Amino acid sequence: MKKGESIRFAFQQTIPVMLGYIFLGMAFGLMLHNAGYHFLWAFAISLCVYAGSLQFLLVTLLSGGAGLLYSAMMTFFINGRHIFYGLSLVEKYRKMGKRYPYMIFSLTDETYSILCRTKVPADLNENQVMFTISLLNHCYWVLGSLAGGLAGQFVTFDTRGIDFSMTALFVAIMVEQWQEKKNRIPAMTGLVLSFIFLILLGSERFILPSLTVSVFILLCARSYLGRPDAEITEERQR
Amino acid sequence: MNNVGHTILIIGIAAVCTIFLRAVPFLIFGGKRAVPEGIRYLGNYLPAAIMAVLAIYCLRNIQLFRGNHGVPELIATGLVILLHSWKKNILLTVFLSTMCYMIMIQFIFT
Repeated sequence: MKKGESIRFAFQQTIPVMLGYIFLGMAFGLMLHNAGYHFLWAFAISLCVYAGSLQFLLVTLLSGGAGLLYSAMMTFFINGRHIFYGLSLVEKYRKMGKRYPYMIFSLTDETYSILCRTKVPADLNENQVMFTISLLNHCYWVLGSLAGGLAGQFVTFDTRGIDFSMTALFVAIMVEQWQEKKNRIPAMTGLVLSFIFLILLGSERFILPSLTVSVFILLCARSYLGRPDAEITEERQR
Repeated sequence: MNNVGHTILIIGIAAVCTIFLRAVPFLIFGGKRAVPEGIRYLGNYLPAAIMAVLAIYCLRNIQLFRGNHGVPELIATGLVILLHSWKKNILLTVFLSTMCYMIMIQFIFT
């Protein structure tokens, strides 16, 4: 059932993530290599942990011989935001059969963002598209880490600043969402709360409160935002 | 050898905790029962809020009052907004703005 077409469409969706993942994966592989680890460790971590900013911290945790409890706490602290991603994907994911566990495992910031913006054409297999997007992103990350661990020291051109591609991705998706009127109040909620908590709590601690209070406010605004006729009137206005 | 064991344990803990966090909503709402209306509603409205928080999360370490005052980040982010409102091509937006940012921090605001 149009498998090839679905896979090709999915590949096109992942291109904005590809370069960033390959180069950030390489940076991780190289960092672990410089800390004295065999490249297979980089490969194993990217394959099994698959979480960008946590992996960079792992290099420090591993080489410093950190305690297990401390490592667990740091993971919860850094990746806590991931709790929120599944909320909008429960319905779609649970129809995915044996791919369901992998889809949950591979739900990174970037995969979540790409899945949010991808509108699968009706003649393609949506499950196939979502699975291929998740798998390809994971492959880019693993391959990048492998390359970084093996040959990162031979990369001679300056890659400083390439991490901005992830910022660009999130901001661009924000711009896309802003075009839809229904997203404006949620987006403003997220922005305003981020600024407030950034000022109050500082750059390392603002994200979880921002997300939690966003959920709370959106739930409170449900009778206003989610009233059935709101979306219909907006459809008509467009 | 003890060291290898410790390494494996830390990696294992990081992996298990991460997948647990990603799985929480599915553990709660992923069963056979119908998804509650409130969660459906959030599925519709929450992504825009999350994306806004993520964008700020990426820009959180800008030093507005020190160094280059966050000028390269602000210019590149402004470029993303303009370019994407105008051309609506995500590849073009990500590619050009990243190039622009790399040139700025490597050659201009060094």
